[in-house]
Amino acid sequence: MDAHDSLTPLDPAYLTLLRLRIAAFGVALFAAALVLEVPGIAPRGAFAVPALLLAAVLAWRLPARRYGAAGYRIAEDRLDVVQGPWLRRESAVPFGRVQHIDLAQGPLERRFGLATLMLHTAGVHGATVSLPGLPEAQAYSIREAIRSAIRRDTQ
Amino acid sequence: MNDSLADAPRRTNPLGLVPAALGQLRQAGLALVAAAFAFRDDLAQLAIPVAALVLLVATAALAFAWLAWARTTYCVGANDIRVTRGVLARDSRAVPYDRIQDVSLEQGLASRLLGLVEVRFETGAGGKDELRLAYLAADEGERLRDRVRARRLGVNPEGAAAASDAGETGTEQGRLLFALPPRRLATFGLFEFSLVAVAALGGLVEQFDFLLPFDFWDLDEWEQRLAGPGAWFVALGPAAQALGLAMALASLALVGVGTGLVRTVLREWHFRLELTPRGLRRRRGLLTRTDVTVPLHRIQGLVVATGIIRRRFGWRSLSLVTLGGEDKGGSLAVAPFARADEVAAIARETGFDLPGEGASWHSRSPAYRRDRMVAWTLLLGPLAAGLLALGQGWQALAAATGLGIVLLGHGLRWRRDRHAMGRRFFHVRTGWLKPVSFTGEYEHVQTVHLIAGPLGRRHGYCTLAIGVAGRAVGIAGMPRSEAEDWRKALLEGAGRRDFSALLLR
Repeated sequence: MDAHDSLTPLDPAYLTLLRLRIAAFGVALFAAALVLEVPGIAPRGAFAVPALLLAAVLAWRLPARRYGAAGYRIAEDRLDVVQGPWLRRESAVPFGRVQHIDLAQGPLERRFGLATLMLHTAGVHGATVSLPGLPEAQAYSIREAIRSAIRRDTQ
Repeated sequence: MNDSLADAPRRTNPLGLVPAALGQLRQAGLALVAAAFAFRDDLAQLAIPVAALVLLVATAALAFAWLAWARTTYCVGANDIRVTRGVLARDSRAVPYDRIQDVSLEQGLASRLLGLVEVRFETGAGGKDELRLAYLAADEGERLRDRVRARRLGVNPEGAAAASDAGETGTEQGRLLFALPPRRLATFGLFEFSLVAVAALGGLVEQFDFLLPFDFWDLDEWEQRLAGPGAWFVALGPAAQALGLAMALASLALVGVGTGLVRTVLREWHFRLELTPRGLRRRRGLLTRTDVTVPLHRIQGLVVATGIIRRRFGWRSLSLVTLGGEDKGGSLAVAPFARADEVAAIARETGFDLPGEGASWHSRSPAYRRDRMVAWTLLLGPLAAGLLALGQGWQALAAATGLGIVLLGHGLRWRRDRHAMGRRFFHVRTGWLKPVSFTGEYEHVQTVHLIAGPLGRRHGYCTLAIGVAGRAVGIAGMPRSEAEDWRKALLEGAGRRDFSALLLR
C-alpha cells in the first residue's frame, strides 16, 4: 500500500454504476424542486435549475473521484482495500482472520455484472471489510482463493 | 450422583415460577404505577376497579409463567444439550457440547432466596442468542455445569485428564487471585461518585419545577430575585451566602457519593477472582450474584483503567477483553479496584505482558495536536464572540470556558496519549480524565485500517484502527511512517497462525 500504483483498480462499469446512483439522487432532488415550483410556492426555476446543475456536477465529479481513489490488492496472505477520496481508508484483512465471506449483488450491480465482496472477521470495529465494484467472475475467483487459503491454514 | 440427570426430557424447577412471575409483574407494575399517577385525583372512587385489575394482572402473570414452565423441557444427551420450549410455536434447540465455551450461573434476588439459578450456556453467539435455562435448583445447576464441562472436555482429547479431574471435584475450587474485602469495597464506593445521580436530581428539579415558586434554571430571574425580594439573602452577608451555597453543594455531593456507594456494594459484593483449571473464574454481586469463567486462551487483550483522582491514590482496574463477551463491550472486570502490583500479578496469570520499565513509548504527531486545537478554536471561538456580541454574556462565558477546557485537555493529554510496540504485545494509552491502557497481542489482531483525512495527508499523520475481537483500538494522529511500521508488525503477527488454531489452544 506504500505505492498507490500497485493497486488493482475497480471495474470501469462500477464508475457508471456510481454515476447512475448519483443521477437517481439528482432526479429526486429535481422532483422535490418541481413540487415546490409547480404550485407556485417558489418562483419558477429558482430551485429546479440549480438542482439540475448540482446533480450534473455531482454525477460527473464525485463518482470519478471515488472510483479513482479505490483499489485493492491480493497479497500472499491478506487482502488490502483502499477507499475514499476525502477520508482515505486503507484496510488490511489477513486471510487467517476471515470468519466468513459474503458475495452481495444488488439489482443494479447484477445488471452491470458486478459484485461486492465482504470479508467478516471476529473484530468489533471495522470488522467487516467490503470491496465493491468487482467483475462477477473475479469476485467468485477471489472468494475461492481466500477460501482455499483458509483451508490450507487450518489443516 | 449423575443419575438425577437422566437422558429423558426434564422440566425446570417449579419454584422458578415465582421469580418468572415476579419478572412479568414488575413490567405490569410499572404500567399500573403510571396509570395510578395519571388518575391520582380520582383514585378514591377507582379503588375497587384498580384492585380487581391488579389481581387480574397478577393471575395472568402467574398463568403465563406456568404455561411457559409447563412447555419447557431440557434434555442432557450424549453429545448435546437440547431445550424445547414455546406455548404455541414449539422451538427446539440442540447445542453440541464442543460448541459450548462455558456454562455460567446467575442468581437474582428472588431466585437466591429460593435457592434457584439461571443456567446460561456460552456459545460465543453473545447476548440474547445464548441458550438459557431458568430456573434450576442451585445444586442441580452446578451438577449440570460440571457435567457439561466434563462431557465437553471428554470430546476434546487434550483435555481428557482435566475432565476426570473436574468430574470428581464437583464444583472446582481454584487459587484465589483477587478479592474485595468490605473495607476496600467501601473505599471503592467513595471513588464511584455518581455524576449521573447528581444530574438526575437536577432533572427531577426540572421535572417538578411547578412545585417551586420560580424557574430554577433562569439565571436572569435569579439575579432579580437576589436584587428584589431576595435582597434579604444578600443582606445576610457573604458568610451566610457562602454557607448556604456550601450546604447546597454538600447535599448534592452526598447524593452522588451515596448512589455510587450503594451501586458499587450491590455490584461488587464478595468479589472473588480465582484461577481454576478451566480459566479465570469471577464471582460477585449482592442481590444478583454472577459466576463467570473465562478460559485463558479466549482472552484477547487486557485493559488497565483508572481515573484522574483515583490515579493519585494509586488505584486502578483490570479488565479482560474476551471473545463473545459476557459484560457489555466484550470486557470482563477481573480487578475493579486494585493496586499496581495486584494488577501485575493477575496479568502474569493471563500470559499477557503489561508495559514494563523498558517500553519505548511514542507520542502522537505534533501536527495532529496543532490541527485539533486550531479546529476547536475556529469552532468555539467565533461562537463565543458572536454570543458576546448578542449580549448573551453567560452563554458566551460557557462557550469560552468549554474552549479553554478542550485546549487544556489537549495540552495535558499530550504526554499521556502514547503507544509502544513490544515483541509479542503492543500497548496503547489514551485519555486524560479517565486514562485507559490497552495491551494486545499481535497474534490476536483481526483487521488493520489506516485512515487519513485531507489535513492528515498534508501534515503526515493518520489514524491507525486495530480490530481486536471484543474491542476497537484506535490511535489517532500517528505519524504516517510509524503507522506503516505498526501495520507491518501487526499483520506479520496476525499471519503467523490461523485464528481457529488460537482458539483450540
